[in-house]
Amino acid sequence: MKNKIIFISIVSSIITSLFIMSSFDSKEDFENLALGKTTQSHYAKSPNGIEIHYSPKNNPNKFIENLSVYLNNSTVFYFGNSQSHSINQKKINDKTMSEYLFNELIKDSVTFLTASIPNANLQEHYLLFEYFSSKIPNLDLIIIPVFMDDLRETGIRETYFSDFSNFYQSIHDSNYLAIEINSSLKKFTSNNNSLLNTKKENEALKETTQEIVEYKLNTKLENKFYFWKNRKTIRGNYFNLLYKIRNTIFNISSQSTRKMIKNRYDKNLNALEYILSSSNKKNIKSIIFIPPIRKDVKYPYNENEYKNLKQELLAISKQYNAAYIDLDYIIEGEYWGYTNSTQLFKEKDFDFMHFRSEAHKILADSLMPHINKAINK
Amino acid sequence: MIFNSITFILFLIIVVSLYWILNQKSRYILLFLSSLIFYGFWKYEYILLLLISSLNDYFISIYIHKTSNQRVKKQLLILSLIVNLGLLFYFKYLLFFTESLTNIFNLFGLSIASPNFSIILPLGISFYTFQTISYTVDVYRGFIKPYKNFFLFGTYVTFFPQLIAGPILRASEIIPQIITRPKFDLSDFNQGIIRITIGLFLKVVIADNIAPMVDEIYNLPINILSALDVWVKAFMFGFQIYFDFSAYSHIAIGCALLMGLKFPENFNYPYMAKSFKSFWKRWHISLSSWIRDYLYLPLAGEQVINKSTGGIVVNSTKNIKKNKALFLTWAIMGLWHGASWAFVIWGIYHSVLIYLERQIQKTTFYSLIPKRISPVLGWLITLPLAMLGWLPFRENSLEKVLIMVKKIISFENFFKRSFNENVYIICFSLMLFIIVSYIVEIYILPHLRKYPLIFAVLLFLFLSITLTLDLTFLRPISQFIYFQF
Repeated sequence: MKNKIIFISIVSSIITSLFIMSSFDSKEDFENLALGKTTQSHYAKSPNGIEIHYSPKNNPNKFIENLSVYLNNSTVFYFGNSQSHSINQKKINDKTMSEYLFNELIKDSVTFLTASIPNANLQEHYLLFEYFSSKIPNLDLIIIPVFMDDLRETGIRETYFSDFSNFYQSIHDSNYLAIEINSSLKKFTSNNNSLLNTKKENEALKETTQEIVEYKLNTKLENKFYFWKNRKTIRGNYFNLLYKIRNTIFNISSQSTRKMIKNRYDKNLNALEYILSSSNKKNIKSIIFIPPIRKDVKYPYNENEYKNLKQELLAISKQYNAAYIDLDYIIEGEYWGYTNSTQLFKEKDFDFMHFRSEAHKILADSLMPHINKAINK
Repeated sequence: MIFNSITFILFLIIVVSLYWILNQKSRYILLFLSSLIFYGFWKYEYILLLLISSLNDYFISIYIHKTSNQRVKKQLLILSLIVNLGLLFYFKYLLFFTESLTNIFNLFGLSIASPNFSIILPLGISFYTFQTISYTVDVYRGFIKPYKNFFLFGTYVTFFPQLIAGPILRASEIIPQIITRPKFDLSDFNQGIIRITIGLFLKVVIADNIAPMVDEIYNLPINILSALDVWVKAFMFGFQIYFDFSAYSHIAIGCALLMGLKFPENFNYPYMAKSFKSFWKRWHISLSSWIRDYLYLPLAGEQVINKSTGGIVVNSTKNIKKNKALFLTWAIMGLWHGASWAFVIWGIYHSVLIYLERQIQKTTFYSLIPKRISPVLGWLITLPLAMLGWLPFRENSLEKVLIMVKKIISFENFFKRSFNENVYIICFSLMLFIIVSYIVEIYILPHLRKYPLIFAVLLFLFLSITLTLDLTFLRPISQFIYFQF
């Protein structure tokens, strides 16, 4: 009797778990989920509909091919994070900084292009810079905002660069970061080139007899059950829940001070130096700047660490003959919005990264004189 | 075949269904053939090696039993050991041995080029070699009679749940079970499902998800680390390897239970051990008991009576021989884990801890420690030192290990944190998870089992959550760590 009750409870739990899984049917894009309800991602296009803002989810070669009409111009390239491809409380016809600058500079036959990734770290920008600087014939200026937040990130992410290795194999340099990035790319390529292109999910089966069977079974399950196909999103939801639980327990909000992680910080600043050194060799001018941050409420940086960053950037800019600008104060509180709460039982939180279209215009206007100065217009 | 895959789940359902449908003799064949298929799903070419190893001990053990000449028995045993250990040496240690030899020659100024070859390590070779050796040795010692049905013996060597990473079985504990044709027992079947669910949870939800974090912290330059960071590194890998390996054992035991077969336990909350002796009675129990019975006791000059229950400490009066045996056994135990001096150092580190523990236990100071405090004190000493032992196990450079140990000893910038905050939180949470699981299993579950209905409801809730997570995270993203041994 006792065993039968336990057996019933096991069978019921199997049915329940399948039911729970099938009840997850979230198709929401993770990028927008992370941005919150009031902020939307928006990748800029030229007035004639050509993409001028690259997202690493797309094919970089196609991006360049489509830009052929603009590539004879002197070109300015901006490497940013989600700030440059997001608009808070977006209205129809709202534009990002990239569009404002493109529209303005194209009048002088200067092409302004942007590449951005959410939470982009400077190692990823290093890779993007090496790729685009080899493809764009008249690249005259690069602009890199250095976000204190993003210095906490590290490594190139397979989510954004898994296909990148198919187009651009490596960074032609022998510094330790180039070696590390190239080895990650090599790994992504090997994942892509595995027998059935099953990528990282089946990493342990690479070159085994089981790989093909596993692939076929998974494909069958994915075709038959939506929840099986949706497992990656469900996993993302679980991690999001864990993240919220952590934040609730430790009362971490968007305003909590995010302390610098020394090794990641150093690695990213090294990446910046490699970018600047490489751009010097290629005769490409550079601007590095401290991007805007919300200042009407307590911001999430340690005051001393933030000050140190500014000093370090100033020193780096001098060393590599780059222009340095501090724009952290230019956007007033009214242009910033709210983000989804990062805690349980709380609806919203201050957004320190994304602002309204008006602020994009302010940023564009603030950068404009520096760009003109750099390219002698 | 890898447990954390949909292929294996399907394979298991088919084999278990056929197992209960078929008659006794067909069962031997089913288990043997399905085990070969299971192995072939990794690389089918290596099935031959598995068969050579099995046939070698199958025939030799029969001849050992047949002959009454003690000298011939011994010669046959040596032949079996040469074949088994020869294969193991070739596949696992040849490269290491050649490299070490080259380094020694180079040290003496004889310039010799490093070996330029690679050998694929056959999956599970260390495990099935130990099983075939124990079988032949047990026949030689007269503990068991050889089995004439090759499928039966073949099933013992290749039985798929334990083939790749144990538990290392003795013929006496599994073959009689297969012969007696177990009847379907719902209790075993239930337990089997529960153990597999728990095992998958430990592997696909915990071990696989902390693996990238562990990789990242082990890839950081060690000069930036504080003493706290080094401890966290040691603990994090300690957790990863424990969850990963115990997950395999849970699944192996669970699969066997689905077929009414009982494997010995391989883990028993090792991180709750209150002494090093106890740690090795709780960690990879089947290996430590194997080492004790087939290596340590013979080396220590002790008589082997029958299977021991784990750990390699023995009460003997032959102290010098015993100590020599202890260090040698542990060095070999380390080497069993991998062809690298780092593993030997890991083994010797544990033998030193056991040796010191023995010496301290003899002192009057030890007898002065109040009985109520000593278990807690023991745990507080055993846990961090056992964790520290994982550093040479995971780190690929002994030089790095020494620098890290120095950081710990010198308390260098003790609380400075170089990792992402999540690493510290997860490290703490995993320790808490182990302590809570231990309390639940040892103190709460026995009481709950007295109330079947409440127990069933709680089990339903537990399994619903665990199974949902298992299904969501089930993917062969990484092998079990012990596959490389």
